[in-house]
Amino acid sequence: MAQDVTIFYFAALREQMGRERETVSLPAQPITVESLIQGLRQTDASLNEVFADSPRLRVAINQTLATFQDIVKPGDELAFFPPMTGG
Amino acid sequence: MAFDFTEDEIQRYSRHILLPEVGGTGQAALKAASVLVVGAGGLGSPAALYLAAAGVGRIGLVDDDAVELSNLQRQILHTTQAVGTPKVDSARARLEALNPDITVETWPMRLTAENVDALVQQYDVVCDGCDNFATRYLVNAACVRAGRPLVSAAVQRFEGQLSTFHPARGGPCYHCLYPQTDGMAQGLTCGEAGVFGAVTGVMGTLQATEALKELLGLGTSLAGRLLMWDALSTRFTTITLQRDPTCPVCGDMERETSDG
Amino acid sequence: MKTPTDPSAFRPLDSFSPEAITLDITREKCPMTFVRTRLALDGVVPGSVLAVRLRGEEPHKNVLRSVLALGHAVLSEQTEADGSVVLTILKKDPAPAG
Repeated sequence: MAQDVTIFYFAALREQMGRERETVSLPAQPITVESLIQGLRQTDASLNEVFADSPRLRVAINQTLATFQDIVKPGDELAFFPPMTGG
Repeated sequence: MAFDFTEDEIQRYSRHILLPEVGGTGQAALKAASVLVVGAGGLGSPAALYLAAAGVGRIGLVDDDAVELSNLQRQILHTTQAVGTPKVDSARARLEALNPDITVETWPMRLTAENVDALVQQYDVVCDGCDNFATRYLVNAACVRAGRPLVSAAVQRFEGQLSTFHPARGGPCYHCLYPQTDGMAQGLTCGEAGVFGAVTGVMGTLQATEALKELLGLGTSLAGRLLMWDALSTRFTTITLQRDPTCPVCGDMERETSDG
Repeated sequence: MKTPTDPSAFRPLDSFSPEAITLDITREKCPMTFVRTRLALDGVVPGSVLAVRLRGEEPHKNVLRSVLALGHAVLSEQTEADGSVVLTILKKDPAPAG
C-alpha cells in the first residue's frame, strides 16, 4: 500500500478512460510521471489511447501543476487534465 | 470623493453598497471600470449579464457569429426572436434592457494578431469565454503585453475550468498552463461537442465573480490557481499553478512581484 | 430614468478636509437607511463627522450596529423633541478591502 499512487482523470480523459480515478503501484526505484504512464500504457488500451495525445495533457501532483519529468512518490495524488475551449 | 450616483443607481446598487467590502467607493470603482468579454456565447452570456447587473460602467463584447437556435439551450443573452441576428446586437439589447446606466460596446469581428492589442488596451479586465484555442492564445498574449488581468473560462460537456492570469503581478499566463493545444479542437468528434447548458451558466457566473473581484481588489485572486468543476460528481478541484520561466509569452516580462 | 440625487440628502462634500455633514434618513426604510448612511460615510475623508437623523427603533438599532461594524465611532446618540434620533458618527480610516 505504501507504494501506491492515486490517479485522477479529468474532463475528456475521464470519458475516454471510463473511470475517474484508480490506484496504481509504483516500482521500488524512483520513477517519473512519463515512465509511470509508459508502463501503464503497455497493459491498458484506453490509457494508451488517451496518452497518445500527452503533449497537450497537463499533470498535477498533489494539486500542484507538475511536469511529466517529475518524480512520483508513494502516496502522491496525480491528476491528468486536458485544455478545453468550449464557450 | 462625493459620488455622482443618480437616485436610480443608488436603488439599483443598494445591495452592493450594503456590503462592507463594496460600499459606495467600490460601486463607484465598478462604474468607472471596463471589461472586455470575448465570446457572447454560453460563458459570455452569464458573465456579461452579471457584469452589467453589477454596474460595470463599460462592457465590450467581441463575437462575429449570428444567433442560432442551437445556441439558446445555454446562451441566455439571446432570445428566440434574435435567431439570425448578430450575437453582439442581441447581447447589447439584452444588457441595455437590464441596465440602461452602462455603456455596451460591440465588436462584431474575429480577433486577429493585428486587432487584438488595440482592443484589449481599452479595457481594465478581459473575460475570455471563446470557443477556440487560437483566440485564447491571441487574447492571452495581448493581456500579457497590456498588463491586463485575464479571467479565462472554458467548458466541455459537464465540466468547466477557470483561472485568472495576471503575470504582471506574478504567476503564470495561459500559455504557461497550456503550452500546446494544437489539434485539440479537431480531436473532438461531433458527439463530444455536447455541453450541459447550466454548466456554462455556472462557469460564466464564476468568471464574472472573479472579474469583479479583480476590479474591486476583493478577497484572494484566482491568479495562480486553476479551478476545475465536474457537475456530474459535484466536485471542485483546485490546482496550484506556476509560471514557466521559459514561457515564450510571459517569460521575459517585468513583474511587479517576484512570486510565482 | 436618471434622476439626480436629492440635493438635501447630500451637501457638497470637500474630500480634502474633515468636515461635519448631516443626513436625514427619517423617511427611509431598511435597508435604504444604511445604504444612505454608507454612501455618506464613503463620500467623506476619515476624521469627518456625520450626523444622521433617523426615526424608529429598528433604524436606530440597525444603523448603529452597521456603523460600528464598519469600524467607525458613534460619538453621541441624541433624541430630539420630535422623537427622531441623531447619531453623530466619526469616520475612521477604512478597513482594508477584502
